Amino acid sequence: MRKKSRISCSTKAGAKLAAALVLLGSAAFAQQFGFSAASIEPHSGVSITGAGEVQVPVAVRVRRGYHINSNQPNEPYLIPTALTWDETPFTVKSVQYPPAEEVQYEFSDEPLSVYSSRIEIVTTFRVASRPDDLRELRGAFRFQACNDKACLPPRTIPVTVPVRQ
Amino acid sequence: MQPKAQFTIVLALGILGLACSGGPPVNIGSEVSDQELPEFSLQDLDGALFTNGDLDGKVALINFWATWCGPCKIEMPWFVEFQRKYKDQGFTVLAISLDEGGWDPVRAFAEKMEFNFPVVLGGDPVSEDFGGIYVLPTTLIVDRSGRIVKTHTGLVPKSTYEEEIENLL
Repeated sequence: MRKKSRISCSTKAGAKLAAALVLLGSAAFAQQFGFSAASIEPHSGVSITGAGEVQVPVAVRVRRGYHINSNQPNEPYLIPTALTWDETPFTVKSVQYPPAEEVQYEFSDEPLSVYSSRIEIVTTFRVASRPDDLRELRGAFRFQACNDKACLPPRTIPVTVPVRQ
Repeated sequence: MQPKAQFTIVLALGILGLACSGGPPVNIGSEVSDQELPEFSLQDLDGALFTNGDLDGKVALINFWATWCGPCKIEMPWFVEFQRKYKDQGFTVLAISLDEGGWDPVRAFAEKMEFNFPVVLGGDPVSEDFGGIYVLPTTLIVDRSGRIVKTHTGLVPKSTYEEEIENLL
């Protein structure tokens, strides 16, 4: 019994240590790879009933204090925001980005064309017919974020839009 | 359910939540360090290899930057000035670009800004060797014994760098 108790105690201590290590590791993971200055709002889905055109809005939240470049930045060295779609049975007719803000930063001679807070990008698809097994549209959102003191590397995050029956 | 299993599930959910929430905000600021300079060997603008050994016995300012980093542009003229002012006292700036687009944008930028110090092209491996560079600019101050004594993340005042360099020379 005594021996069993010692084992149980060391197992608990080990579990606690492992938990601490995993938490530390996860914090480091989030710091290194998880932090994102922009995120995609969950999409409620889109109905595609038949042939025609369908508009699919994708909403992006930009963290307070950060900005991301617009899709047409004023400076050639800046990385534009871009929404792209994986291959679908539909044709992408247009990707409409919102109007950008023109903001003067200390580090730029000219005002920069940026997005902040929340933006919505609307894609218009041309639909010839809707395959029965189509469950979602997948794409990618690429952006590069900065604040007035620092920048984060460019990131590409997945975009998923459920297709309702 | 076993307590251990419950614990594991709670832990896993917590980790998932942290990762999916976008994680904690990135820290921007300065901190005192005491780390040995890692070994590295990187190609410079002229195609020659620049290694950590080239910094032996020197006070160095190592700057991680990229051409798409606006705040980095503010610091560059300061670094040009530091190189001119302190070079003869055993000081050098080393600029490590983390541009993914290769030399073309870096070379154009270096010429435009009239860099008078070594510029090398880095990437994920060198970033990892330095303990993970996830914010630009990140600037390290290295003493003559090859120890990183200060780490600056984000833009800091020019006078901060000057004071630290002069203290080490």
